[in-house]
Amino acid sequence: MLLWRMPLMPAGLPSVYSWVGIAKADDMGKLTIERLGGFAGFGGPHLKSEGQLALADLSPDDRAKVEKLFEIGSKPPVKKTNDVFNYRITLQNDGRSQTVEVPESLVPAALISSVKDTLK
Amino acid sequence: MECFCQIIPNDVLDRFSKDRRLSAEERKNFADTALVDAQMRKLRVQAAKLTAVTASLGLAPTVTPAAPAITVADCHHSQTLPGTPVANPATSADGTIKSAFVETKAVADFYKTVFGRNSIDNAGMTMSSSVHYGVNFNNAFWNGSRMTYGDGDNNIFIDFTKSTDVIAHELTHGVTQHSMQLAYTNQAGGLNESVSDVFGSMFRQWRANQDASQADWLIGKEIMGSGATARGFTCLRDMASPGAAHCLAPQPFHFSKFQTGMDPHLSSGIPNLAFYTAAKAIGGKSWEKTGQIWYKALTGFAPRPNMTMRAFANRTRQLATQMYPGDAPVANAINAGWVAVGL
Repeated sequence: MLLWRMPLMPAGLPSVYSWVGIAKADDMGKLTIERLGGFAGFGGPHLKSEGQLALADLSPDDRAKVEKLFEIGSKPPVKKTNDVFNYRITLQNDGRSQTVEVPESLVPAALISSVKDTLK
Repeated sequence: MECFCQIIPNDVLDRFSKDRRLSAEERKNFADTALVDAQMRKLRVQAAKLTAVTASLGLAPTVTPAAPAITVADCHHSQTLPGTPVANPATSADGTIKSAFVETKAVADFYKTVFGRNSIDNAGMTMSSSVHYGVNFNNAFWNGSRMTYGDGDNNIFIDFTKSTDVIAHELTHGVTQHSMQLAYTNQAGGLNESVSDVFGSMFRQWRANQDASQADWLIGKEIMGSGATARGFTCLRDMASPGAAHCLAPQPFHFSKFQTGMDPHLSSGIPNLAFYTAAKAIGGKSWEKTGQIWYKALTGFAPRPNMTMRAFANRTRQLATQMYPGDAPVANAINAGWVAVGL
């Protein structure tokens, strides 16, 4: 079962990011991507890897893949593999928020390349 | 195409392989993944059975090579595995390729010399590595059949082959896969990661001929980039002090802090500190007694994918008594190590 459907949207949505519960009109179709795990254990207090994208900026193929990721995420538990990165992807859409966590092998390159590794 | 196929439920892969909304290439990839996944599952089951049978008989398969072949492939900064095979990695002018070969061979020697194990599967399995994976790739991983190393982003991390413990850590994931077959979530996941850190650190100490007091017990010391060291981070993890400020990835180190769903790289701090505490108390080289107990606990029994930390602790307690019956300080040290972390 697909959890959500997004119509094609124009590119260039504002990059403002809001958390669940305070979503605004300009939050529609925003993806927040967090890289987790790996040998170094990204996602801890000092190692972060995050990025944001608008669904409208993705190709139709990638958008379909993202839909699939949310479908996989609805079937826990998704097994993890030794030291391979996982991605926590949050979709904010129309005031609602959904999050999935999936392995790197299923994440479109556009999402992977959107994240930036940083020290906190 | 290689993939991390074992992590996706097979029914999902099958469904995607028939989903007309995906491109033909994507559908084929999912179909291929499902096929490889099924075969890999069979392979793992058979490998585990073979390991269990040979271990119980004290025999090795008659076709086992005396020592494993070591291969290295160059990904040339792509993320396609395995990459281009390197003809003579031992003499390569590329330091990363040469290091991957030399240290992987040394890990094979370590397992053979110290634990009597013939490669990852104890049956002479070829040890394959891929280097220069991705662009600015801050990771190294075991994908179920090979070790893969990124070059780092030269800020947080540098070349992941530079820390010998990283290489032994990844190879030990293979050993775990072919022995206890620990899962990668919850307590078993923390044990899985810890076992890799324990054998990674022991290998680094073995290479330097250090005893437990001389060792620094750091994980990933040599892969720290200038941006990380400038901030005072001297390692990724510290088995002797998992929560220390100099750790880029500090960990909880008491079982009371364990939470279901916790990342294995966090919860591994608990058994890591238990091993360190025991090895330090026993003294001498960590692989001589403490390491032998850990190795037997990992490889000397039938697979137990969902083993808890407490069950693993109790197994090492029993083994300490059985393996060193006239040496009470060993059993006491093992017990004290686990008690220190609340187990």
